[in-house]
Amino acid sequence: MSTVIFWIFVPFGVSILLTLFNRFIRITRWIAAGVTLGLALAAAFVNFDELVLLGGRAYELSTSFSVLGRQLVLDSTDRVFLVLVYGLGAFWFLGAPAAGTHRLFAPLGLAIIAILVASLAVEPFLYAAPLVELAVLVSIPMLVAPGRPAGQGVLRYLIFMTLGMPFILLGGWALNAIEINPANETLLLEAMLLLGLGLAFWLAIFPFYTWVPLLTGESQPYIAGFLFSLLPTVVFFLMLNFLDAFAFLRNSPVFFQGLQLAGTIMVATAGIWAAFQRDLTRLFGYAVIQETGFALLAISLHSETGLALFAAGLVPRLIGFGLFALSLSVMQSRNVSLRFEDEGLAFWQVPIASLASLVAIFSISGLPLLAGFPVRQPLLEELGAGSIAVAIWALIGSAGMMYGGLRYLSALFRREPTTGQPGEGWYQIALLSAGVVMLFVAGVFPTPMISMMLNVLSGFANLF
Amino acid sequence: MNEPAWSWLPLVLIIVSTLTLLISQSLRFSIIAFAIQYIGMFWMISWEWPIGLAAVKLVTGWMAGAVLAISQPGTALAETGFTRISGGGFKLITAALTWVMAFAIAPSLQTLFPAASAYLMGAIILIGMGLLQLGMSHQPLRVILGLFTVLSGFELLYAAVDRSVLVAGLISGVNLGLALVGAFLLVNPEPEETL
Repeated sequence: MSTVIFWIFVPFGVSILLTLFNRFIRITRWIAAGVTLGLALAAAFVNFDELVLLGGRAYELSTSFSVLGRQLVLDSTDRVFLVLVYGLGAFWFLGAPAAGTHRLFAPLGLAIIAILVASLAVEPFLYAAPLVELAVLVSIPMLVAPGRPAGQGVLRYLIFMTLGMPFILLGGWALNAIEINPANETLLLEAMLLLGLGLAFWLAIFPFYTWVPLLTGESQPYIAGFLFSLLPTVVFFLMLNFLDAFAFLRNSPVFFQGLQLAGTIMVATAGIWAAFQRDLTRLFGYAVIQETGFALLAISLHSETGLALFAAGLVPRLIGFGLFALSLSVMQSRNVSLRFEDEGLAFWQVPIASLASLVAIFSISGLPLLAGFPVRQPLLEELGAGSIAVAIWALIGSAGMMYGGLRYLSALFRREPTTGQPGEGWYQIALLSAGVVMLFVAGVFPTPMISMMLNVLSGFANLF
Repeated sequence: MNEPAWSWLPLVLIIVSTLTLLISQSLRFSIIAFAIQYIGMFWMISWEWPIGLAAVKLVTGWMAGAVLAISQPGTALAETGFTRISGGGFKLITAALTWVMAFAIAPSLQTLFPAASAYLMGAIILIGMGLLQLGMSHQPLRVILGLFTVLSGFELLYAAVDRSVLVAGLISGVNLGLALVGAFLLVNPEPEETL
């Protein structure tokens, strides 16, 4: 038995079966949720280095698997990451019935998770680029609902993500060439440029982020939210892999200065656009851009604290995106307009979804007592210690997002109250309420969440 | 590096086919040009790789072309933003600029990529023409053809520095996946039903 078979091939095989039976939408959603939850729990409790007892028999788990002369490796250092990724999958699949996702979401979502795990397991990890691209291709039928034409956001997403792959592959080749000839400074510059461009395409870093608000505006928000929580997480881990493996890269001040500049521009511009936004789906897109910007700023600190803040920010980001995307999908499923001018009516039709989206916006903008604050406040402090200008721009970005939230709050209460039952179903109410409670709990008691997420960095021995 | 014999011939194939892909509004001509583009690319890669491995690119490209050809309506390439003559003229001029750029920078790229000058010109022309295609159209089929053209150019560059069978296989998988995505975007599937 091999960990690779259990955490890559089994879910991928299940996803193929679910795709074949995709018309049984309720069954496929629950099976996908069950499989991802089971794999997350198994990764949490099974020790890869010891014998596994099953039915009274002991089995040894091999941690590698050979494919075309290359290795796929999932060892003990990957356990926390597996818990994170499959837990993330379970989180989104459990919410799928409430969000009313279409029939391809669960099967293809499971396939994407398996392919992205493979991209982090492949050694040498430079071969991850085509696997990430395959995951992107699989995501297209998920984003374009059956029976609908593809919009500009989806096409731009496909273009930018596809353009990222060649840059990463060529950057990987240049990195390997530098290992042989470390004195070649041209090659060094070329490697950094190629990798930087590849990562910029994949992470929708400035100036390649125009498709993000378009995509959230034209695809179902819940599906876009799933991708925006999964893809950047995996790509950030690939980036940390690069930094961990190549000393000249992690010792290069230019690389980290570039990250800081891009992160600052993303946080500031997303906040400023969000402040004047009148459409909730586009506001969601700007929230995604801002979160990526803050993650870049955390990594750009080039310190143990910065990496810890990056890891600690993963959970608030996941819950915030999940709650925001779910509430938008609930509103859409009830034919409620997502434009600010119609929100006064929306609040009386779907009050819980409206309030949940408001809480999510405030958490993403770093309001105290919510999950985003315990990570955002020390990050701003650290940024300020290095450069006051960067901290001020980051603060302006946060303030812009918060102002967008306040404008939404004002739009919600524009109409006179009317009596009536909430439009949400009981499962939707349960999930939305759970999301709001989780954001408050993670905001008031952040220590367990932060200490748990720090374990995700255990695989990067050279970064500290 | 020494130029292989007849090195200009695959370059001409690439120039003509990419220009046809950029300008033509006929599906039949576009698919033929797409197939010829992969012949030119295969010819060039065979200078760097064994014929058997290089043939993977040709077969993959033709299969992708076949998938696109059988799955879309004849109007998928019709332009709405340009009139036929002025649009075609504009595209021809931008294509000419791309060729000039390729001829200008290919020799200097030889310091980075150990390949013949015509080979590098072919790669740059493919990338440039693909980017032009991507920048000038919002139609799914043109976007997919543009992505194929860009990826072909990149594959040429990458083949000059790496001969990994795994990467060749994965990139072929990506190409076939892109063709299937293109087919999905073009075909208008049945409305959603719930059981």
